[in-house]
Amino acid sequence: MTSGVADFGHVPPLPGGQSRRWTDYLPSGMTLLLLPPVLFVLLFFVGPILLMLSRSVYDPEIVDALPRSVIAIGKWDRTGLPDATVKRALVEDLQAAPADAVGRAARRLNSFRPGFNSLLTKTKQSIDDAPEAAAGQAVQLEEIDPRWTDASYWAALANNTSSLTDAYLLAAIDKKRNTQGEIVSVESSQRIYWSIIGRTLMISLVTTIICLVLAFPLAYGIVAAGPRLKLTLLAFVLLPFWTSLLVRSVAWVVLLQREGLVTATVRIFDPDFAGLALVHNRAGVYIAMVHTLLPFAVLPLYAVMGNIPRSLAQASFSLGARPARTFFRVYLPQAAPGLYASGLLVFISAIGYYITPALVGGGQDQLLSYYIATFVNATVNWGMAAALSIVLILLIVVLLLAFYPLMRRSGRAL
Amino acid sequence: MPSSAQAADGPDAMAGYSRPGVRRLWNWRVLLYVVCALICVFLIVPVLVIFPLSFNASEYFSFPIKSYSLRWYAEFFGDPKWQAALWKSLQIGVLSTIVSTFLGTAASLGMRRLSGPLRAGVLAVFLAPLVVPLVVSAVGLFYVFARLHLVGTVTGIVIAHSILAIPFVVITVTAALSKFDPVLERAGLSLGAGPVRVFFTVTLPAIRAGVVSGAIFAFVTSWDEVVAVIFIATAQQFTIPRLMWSGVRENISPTLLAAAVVITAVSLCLMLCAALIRRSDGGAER
Amino acid sequence: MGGADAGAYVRVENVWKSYGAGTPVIKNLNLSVAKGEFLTLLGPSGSGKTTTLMMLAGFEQVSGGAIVLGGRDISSVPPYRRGIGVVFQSYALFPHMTVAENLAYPLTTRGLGRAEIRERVAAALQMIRMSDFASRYPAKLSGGQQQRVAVARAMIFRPGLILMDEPLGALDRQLREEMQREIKDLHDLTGATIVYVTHDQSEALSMSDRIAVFNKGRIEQIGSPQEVYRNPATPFVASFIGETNWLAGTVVSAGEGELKARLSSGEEVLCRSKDGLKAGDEVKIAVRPENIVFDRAPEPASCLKTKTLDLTYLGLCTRIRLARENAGELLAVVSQQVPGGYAKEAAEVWFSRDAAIPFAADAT
Ligand SMILES: Nc1ncnc2c1ncn2[C@@H]1O[C@H](COP(=O)(O)OP(=O)(O)O)[C@@H](O)[C@H]1O
Ligand SMILES: [Mg+2]
Repeated sequence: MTSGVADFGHVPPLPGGQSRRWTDYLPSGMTLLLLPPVLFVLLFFVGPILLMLSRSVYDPEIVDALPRSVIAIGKWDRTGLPDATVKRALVEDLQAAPADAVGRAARRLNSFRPGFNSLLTKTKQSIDDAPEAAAGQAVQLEEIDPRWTDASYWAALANNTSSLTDAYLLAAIDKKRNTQGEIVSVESSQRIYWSIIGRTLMISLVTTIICLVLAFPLAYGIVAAGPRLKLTLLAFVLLPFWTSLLVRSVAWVVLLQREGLVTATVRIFDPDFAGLALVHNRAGVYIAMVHTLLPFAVLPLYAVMGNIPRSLAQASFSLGARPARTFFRVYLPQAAPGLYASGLLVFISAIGYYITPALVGGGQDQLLSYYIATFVNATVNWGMAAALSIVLILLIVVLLLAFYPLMRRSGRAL
Repeated sequence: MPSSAQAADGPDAMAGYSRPGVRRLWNWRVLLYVVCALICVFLIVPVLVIFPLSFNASEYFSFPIKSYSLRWYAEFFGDPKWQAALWKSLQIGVLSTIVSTFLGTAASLGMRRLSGPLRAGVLAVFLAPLVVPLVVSAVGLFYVFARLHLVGTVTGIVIAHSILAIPFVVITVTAALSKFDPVLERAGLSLGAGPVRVFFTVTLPAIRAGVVSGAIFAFVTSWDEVVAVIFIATAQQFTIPRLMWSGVRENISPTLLAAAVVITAVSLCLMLCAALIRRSDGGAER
Repeated sequence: MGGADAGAYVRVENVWKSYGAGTPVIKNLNLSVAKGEFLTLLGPSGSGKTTTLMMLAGFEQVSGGAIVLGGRDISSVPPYRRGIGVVFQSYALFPHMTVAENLAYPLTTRGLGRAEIRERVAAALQMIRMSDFASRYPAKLSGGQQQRVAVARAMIFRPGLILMDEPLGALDRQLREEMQREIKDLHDLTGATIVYVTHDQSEALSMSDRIAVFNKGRIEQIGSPQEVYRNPATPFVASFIGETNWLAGTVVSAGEGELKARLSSGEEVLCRSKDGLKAGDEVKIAVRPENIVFDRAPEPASCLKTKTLDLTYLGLCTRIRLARENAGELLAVVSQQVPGGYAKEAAEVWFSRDAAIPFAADAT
């Protein structure tokens, strides 16, 4: 070390001196960077979903098309038929409203009283065509269609006099308001949503249980394996995990269909095998859903199990506990947070499944998501789609609230 | 592996753990790995099966395969419909990757100074698209996009895919930041670099692996995604998964399996890259 | 203590610091550092040393008061404009840059030319004897090597002031002593002003020109290593630096340069005088173990009756635990060969008047 080497020589001072540049005013930690992503997510995720969900209780189509009628029928006592003022209001509304607005209202009313669609469109048509309208003479609704003497049509209108409605939410749990406005169950032939909710929960639960039963030995095997075997086993879990859900569902269709690979494999041993269709039924749904969700069960379990010290089991053995006792009293409590985490993850994913059941399942194997999609795509009933979405989200929230603390608690207890 | 020599006081204290006990554990091990092997077969078969079938010369999914050919790939790459879908998928994938990587990285950086319930709340908002069922998200977007005239536009699908991909970027970048020592930034400042320069020369390089693997996840998310596309796309915007979706519901053609192989191969390669990047990055630290 | 020296290179003037709305962690700090000085901030963990250093570096804002560097108030200048070198405890080497790139970083930010940067980096590498490691990444260096690179990086842009926060805390003992010497050498060589933080008193004693002893956000004493060791200003300093025996008693008489005190055990001892102590005051008297001798100490001296409890042979010296009659224990450290006579049961030990430092009993 000579002083010549040590002398670094002159280094210019930092530019800028006392004056400040804009970078001096940057907020520390760059919290402002949150602004664009938060806005983006609020604008294109939280907002749209809330707006869409609001359609389950907000339904302006009837009020928009028939503003006078809904006010007038509010005074009806629901005995007999409404008086002339109500009918006059309806005629005025139908004269004033454009045909497409009436059409939307008619479809909406039809979902509460089948037949209303044709009744209202026909009435609108007649009023528009009728010479009396131009002459300002009274229109007799009963003459256009005798169904106007049926009080149940008027009741359906009376039940929808506000833009705010609970009809969709009630319908989502197989309830409705009767002509008196009381909440009652729908006729048993039309009770479908409870069974869909029950089916969704059932399929998710069975899938979760099968996943956990399969994931436990596999995760244990991965943890206990040597480095090479561990990598191999992990590859078997990760490859399907990384493969598109759609592709895996398609593959299962190929494997499970009547002339698919499962049948072909059985035929190798039994040439006369008639063929077994595992697709478009419940068995196929379970097989494909378990397959697509199994990695979600294995990975959290593996993470938790990998952190359980071997010395604990050894200590238990050294204290004289036999393997079974060691497993149930020492190992399982340690692995419990992993089981909760895996179970929760699989269940929450399963409950919203759409693609796989739609491809592999039959008509009786579809989950809630399918019906939401159908209400949007096929019948354009936003109210029902939103109400079923709320049911689905509520199920998930309840599950999270119920199991997340349990998971945390058992994790902390370690 | 009961090693009990010291623990056993009396001669019979650990009688159950002489050789027979060890034997029994060993048998359990064999059984365990037989079970593991069966589960692994179950996991891997559906992924592997599409590969040979897509090379099958026959039009039917007959097994065993009698002759192999590339005719379904020729069909896939020759058909303008699939070609258009391939380019749409790439275009949408790249755009959503850019958008979600920028926004997700900004979100992770912005959350650094937050703590407690506020941080948990903000994080929950960003991760929510993982928990909300896909159909609900897609329907919500469709509902609003219909009013914004975004249905059937590339912009609409890119926004939807970005929303679905942001959680992955946030997760990987936040993980990278949690391993990043903020003292390094102080070191940069003390050496005369301003905040912006420190960000680009110190912070960003340190979390680069997280950002890159987040971007890869984002691309693969968009590349594989079909539910949002079902709602938001029109016939002109068919991506490969969307074409496959309508194809399967009619009947599964071997060309469709060739398409499945193509998107699977791309996904697997990218995910493998992401895993290797994270692995090599983790290795460089120690 | 007192007001900062107006001509000093670094002046910390009446600085307060509190985090958020909490109680202040630095209370009315005054400190001045001369150009070229090696000042050590010494104190227990949590006493505010790092906070002080971070305010000097500019990473923490002062809540009150001012920091003046070279005659200019830099209290609100951002850290990257202060031009102060900082060595962090964790080294804070950029993991994605090679050794050479790390060293070049502060020169690049200052806009030096390529050739010049290469030259200076080479010179710095030669100085820390690491020329062969220029293209290594920090993760591939040993702790000592990383430490040297961190020091060189903080010095390469010739900052007037260099701050080091427990830079050797992560090293093992032997390496630490080696690095202490190297840092001292670099200091002598470059003539930089260094403010050094440590909680290791032996490190502070061996390296510093002056030591500032911190306790609970205040400076208890500033002085040369000899001063703070021989003349601790407060009982805290006496306990924190080196080992100390405490004797409790009452002042009997206060004379010229001398106090006479009666211990609770009844023995009368002589100690230095201290302002403010008068006859009848309760006192505690500090006596260093190495000042307790078994031969009669040079007059004026005091004598205590003890019994030997045990001896611990440490090679360089021997520690002897002694029991006083009904009045607790004493520790003596003798460096000579222990004569057989010391191992006897009863022993009379001596200490000279100037080795006994009295404090008011309620002082801390
Ligand atoms: N960022 C911070 N926020 C709140 N309190 C802090 C912070 N940093 C340090 N403190 C508190 O300030 C006091 C002094 O800390 P520090 O300066 O780190 O002490 P030292 O370096 O001497 O160990 C401690 O009580 C510590 O808890
Ligand atoms: Mg400290």
